[in-house]
Amino acid sequence: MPRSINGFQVCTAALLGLLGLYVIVQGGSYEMGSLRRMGPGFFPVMVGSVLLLFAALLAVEVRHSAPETGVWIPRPILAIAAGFVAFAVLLERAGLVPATLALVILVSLADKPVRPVAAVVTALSLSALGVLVFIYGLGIPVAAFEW
Amino acid sequence: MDILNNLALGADIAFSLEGLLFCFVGVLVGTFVGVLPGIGPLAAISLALPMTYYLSPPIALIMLAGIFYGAQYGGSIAAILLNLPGTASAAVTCLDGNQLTKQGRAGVALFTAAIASFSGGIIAIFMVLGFTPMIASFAMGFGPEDYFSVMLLGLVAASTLSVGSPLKGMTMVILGIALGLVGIDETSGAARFTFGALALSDGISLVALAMGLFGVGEILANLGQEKRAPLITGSLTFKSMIPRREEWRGLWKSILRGSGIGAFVGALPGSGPAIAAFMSYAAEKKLAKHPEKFGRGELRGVAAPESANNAAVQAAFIPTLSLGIPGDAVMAVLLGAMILHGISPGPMLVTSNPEMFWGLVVSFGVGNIMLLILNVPLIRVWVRMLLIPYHVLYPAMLFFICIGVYSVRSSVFDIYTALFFGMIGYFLIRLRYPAAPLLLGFILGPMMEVHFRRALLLSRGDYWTFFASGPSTVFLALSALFLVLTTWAAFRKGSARVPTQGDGAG
Repeated sequence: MPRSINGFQVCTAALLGLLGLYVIVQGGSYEMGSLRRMGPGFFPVMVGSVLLLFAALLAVEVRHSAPETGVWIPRPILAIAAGFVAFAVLLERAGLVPATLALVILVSLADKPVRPVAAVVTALSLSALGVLVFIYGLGIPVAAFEW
Repeated sequence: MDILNNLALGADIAFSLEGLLFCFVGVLVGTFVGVLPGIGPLAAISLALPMTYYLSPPIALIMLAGIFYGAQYGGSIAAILLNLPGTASAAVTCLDGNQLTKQGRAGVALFTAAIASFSGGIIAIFMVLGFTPMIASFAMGFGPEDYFSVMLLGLVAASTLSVGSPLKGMTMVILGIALGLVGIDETSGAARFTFGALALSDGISLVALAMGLFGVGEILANLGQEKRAPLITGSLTFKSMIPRREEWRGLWKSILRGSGIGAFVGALPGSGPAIAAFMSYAAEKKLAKHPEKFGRGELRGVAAPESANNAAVQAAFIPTLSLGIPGDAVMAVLLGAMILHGISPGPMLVTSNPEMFWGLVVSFGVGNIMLLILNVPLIRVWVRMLLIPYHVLYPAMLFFICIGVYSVRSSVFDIYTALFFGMIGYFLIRLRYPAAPLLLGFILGPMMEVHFRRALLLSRGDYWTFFASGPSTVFLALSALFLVLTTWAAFRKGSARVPTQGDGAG
């Protein structure tokens, strides 16, 4: 059987290599200093170089590894991203309760089949728990409802 | 005697009402997250971290540590009943534990796991008591070059000993160090890699990073899977839990060996309970008269890894408390917790914060006794937990992640950070990159940089300073040895794999 290239793994290694390159370039823009008195740029350039080296070795190691299937799962990824963004946007503007409701209902869409009743009940109970534990109990500086 | 005075001091803390209460909360939460597959001690400790701000440092640490070892008890329950390791370190327990369940002997397996965990924990506590002050006083004379080298050894060991590709592990360590660069440089005050964002000037939030990688990432990976295992419990009466007399024989030896291996492996920097469990299982199988019984419901195959993983967890506190160097990712988060509470970890800890060290050690004993009670008579309560449907559990976990991450420094930015690393964490899991070394690198990286720069400053830029001190030379030699052995093993495996891969892939 001819051994095929695992494009996904190789791309990941390449991305890590690019990150290493970026760390070198960006780190190099800070003051390097001397060995005796190192500037803030010295260590980043070192770290970036090792990352670049390892990424190159990785690309060789993983190039023929068995392919992964079903890595891209748009539904859970998008639902959770939407939930987090909604929570972050609403928390300080609308309060903890609206943020929690939005988060829980949005992330409940991640799993099939969607159970609307369970999602709403979970959302309401978590909102109550959140207000009790985090606002009254731990006193985080957020209102339950922001008017 | 001195040690008795110290233990009395520790008992004051551990047996205070607050100490007992939060130790109980810790082990309870630990067992709970251990039972639930898909949420491990690391996510739970990161989650509980912001809530401990309101406690005094020793109490906070008692609770957080309780989560860690409590999870080792709980982890075996899901492993035995569902063949799903509740925590990574219980993966080996699945092999024989689930076979016993299929033979209708789940009770015996659960009982053995609880007793083995307890024995492992207690034995390792004595190691912690004996070795931590000793190593700490030895490390008192460490210079920056010694610290740099021992941290390097920890990182090399962590990445090469982890399950899977050592090269991937090492790459993750470096990635973690790179992420640790973000923020204001401690020595010069220059802002690095902040993209001009004020929220990043204090660096990436440890809690957001850990929750993203281990909380959100795991949830995404679970949601991507189709299958969910059914629950078989059989009858779980107390009587059904007691092993037969002929099984008791030999079991004690396995537990003692497992505890010994666990305590030793756990104390090494860079190794963790998962490796300890794996090694003790392998050793037990080698020593057994009938190795073919392993994997088919051998009770010793449950006892050895369970005693080893709990012993390893307790022993993992030795390098953390004596040197300030965490052996694995969970200890790294605990170390981060100490720093957040204003305690500087290092060899001075035992003498400068005696109530902290001795209180913690005494609480280990208290916590293990609590866990034994929680896990033997109350086992049925935990089995019930496995019935919580995932569609209720994961939204709740995501809610606690969001609010927990936010509450650390009241930063909305950190919620986005957690989401970002959640995505990264998911892809790392699916592409078989270990995420734990990343976290270890993230925490050790900044410390290594400080020591590296200080060492070269003191030596006036002479690299030989790392070989001028005894301890540093030894640590560097050990690091090199690890690298050579790993490379050698990889080459051997690589050349041996070529013919077999053809049939596997076809």
